[in-house]
Amino acid sequence: MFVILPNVAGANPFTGQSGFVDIATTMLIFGLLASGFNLLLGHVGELSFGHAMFFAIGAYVTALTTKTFSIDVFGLTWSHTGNDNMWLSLLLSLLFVFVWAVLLARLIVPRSSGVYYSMITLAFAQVIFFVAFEWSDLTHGEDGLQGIPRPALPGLPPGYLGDSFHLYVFTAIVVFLCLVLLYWITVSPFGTVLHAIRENKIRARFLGYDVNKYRVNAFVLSAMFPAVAGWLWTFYQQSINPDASSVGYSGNLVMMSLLGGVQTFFGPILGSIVYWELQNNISQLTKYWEAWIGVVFVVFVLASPQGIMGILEDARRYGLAGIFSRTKREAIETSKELPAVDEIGAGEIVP
Amino acid sequence: MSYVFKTEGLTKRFSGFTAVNDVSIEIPEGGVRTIIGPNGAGKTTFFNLLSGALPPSEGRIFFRGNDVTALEPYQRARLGIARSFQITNIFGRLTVAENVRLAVQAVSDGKANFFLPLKNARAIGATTDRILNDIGLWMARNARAENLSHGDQRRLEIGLVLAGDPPVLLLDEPLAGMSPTETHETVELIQRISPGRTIMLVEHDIDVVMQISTTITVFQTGAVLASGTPQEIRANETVQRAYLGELA
Repeated sequence: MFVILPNVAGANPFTGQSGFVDIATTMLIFGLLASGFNLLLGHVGELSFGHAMFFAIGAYVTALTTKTFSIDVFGLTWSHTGNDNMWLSLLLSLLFVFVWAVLLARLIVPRSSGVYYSMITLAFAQVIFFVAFEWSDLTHGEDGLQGIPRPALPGLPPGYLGDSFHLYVFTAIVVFLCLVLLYWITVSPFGTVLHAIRENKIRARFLGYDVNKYRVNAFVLSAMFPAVAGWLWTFYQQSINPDASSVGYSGNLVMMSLLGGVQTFFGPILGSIVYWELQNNISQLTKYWEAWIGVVFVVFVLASPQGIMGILEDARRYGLAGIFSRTKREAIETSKELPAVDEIGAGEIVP
Repeated sequence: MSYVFKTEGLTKRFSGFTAVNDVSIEIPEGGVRTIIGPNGAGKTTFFNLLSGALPPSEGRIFFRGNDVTALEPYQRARLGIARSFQITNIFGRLTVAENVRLAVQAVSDGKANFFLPLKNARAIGATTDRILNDIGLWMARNARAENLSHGDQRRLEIGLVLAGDPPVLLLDEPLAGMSPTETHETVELIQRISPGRTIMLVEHDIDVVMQISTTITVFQTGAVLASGTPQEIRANETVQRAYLGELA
């Protein structure tokens, strides 16, 4: 997949055309971000409308770790010497996001669901946005933090990641490992319980599952992947500004996931690829590119609620005609009758 | 006498309407304990209070001597109180096998972690397969639960309820919407699983109730009108006037 990616973007990274490599890197980072977000939307069935805040926290913590600064906090001076150890910044990003996510999850999850859940997560993302925006001493406000150096990888010459292609490969490896972990979570017994909660909270509860505990854990887990994405993003962009926690960013995650298909594992990644591909091409034609992406989004939501993966699945199962005709799909579905269950094993029922 | 449930002054009010009014009863251990009563008598609300779906307005609930009034539904489920619902309650878009596995997993030692020890996984798989066979849905195990017929969905739900081998079952109108054949099969099933368990039933089919119940408790306007064996209930004049008379 990671070799095919740049081809989707329009060119091959091995040719060294940095513009395309940049887009491919962006696609990967946002693919990871959307996939983490989709652990909630697709697997638990809960829409967090502020998930970009975890991305922003990861990115800011990474940026601040690498920078030297000295500020006054409540009369105390806090001095920090820049540290270019990338693993330290990753650790700190994960730590900060973890603490924030646990606090939020314990506060939000037992008290809300549905649209309230979405609105409260959005509100907290706005809190992060305004902290980043207003706390200029630390975050440089609207301008954000600039000139963040790319770290040195152990065993490789300094400045190795300065090359776009090298950074792309590094990003691809990290994203790949995260996706493997995420995939493992979704197919584990834990992941199955999340699906059960998505399908029927009441039934899950009466089978003996502590539904809110699972919802809290899923929330925290789904916040950790955006933290990693924020870490990668800071090194890639070498700058970060408050927009990372904006409604727009959070909304884009929803859009990417729905475009690709929320009920599938690869949907959000595919959604990220398609989104940036559209952005890249349409923005060269018109400055109203966002409006056109909006049109594409609306068409997809109305015509294919299961996204691109849903269309591919229909094509695989029912042939090309099945994509466009519901009648055709239903005809094929009813022709495949369920086996006559009464004939087999309807014996003793006592466990 | 030992009891599974004991309630003390159990009351549930919904804004201005008292669904269950000061009910103090004991449900003895074992047998089929049926609750009947006209619509709106508070039968399902009473079930919801026992299983923890609703918190009581007043009163206390004891399960085998322990106060469970404040316990969450999932905690009561772990004590061995399993319930089915009036409306079929399964995981529609998951497969039949996943439905059953979730129910088995819920009571297994390993719970639902990221690492499931292989030994545990095998045990869960084996139990899942056995239950799929028992409820006659082995061949449909990979079908989505929502694609099953109504009768098969009810069977699946009973499979979910039985998966943990619970000592106490609360079945809320298990025969609703069933054909005569399905009704017959389900009645046989209830009789087969009743030894060693306490089965509480809310049911409208009065013939079935008279046939399978050990004791019958009659609810009217949120209170217990009478309680006794099927013969006693049949002979009770108050009950006849209030309830059975309508059906005769």
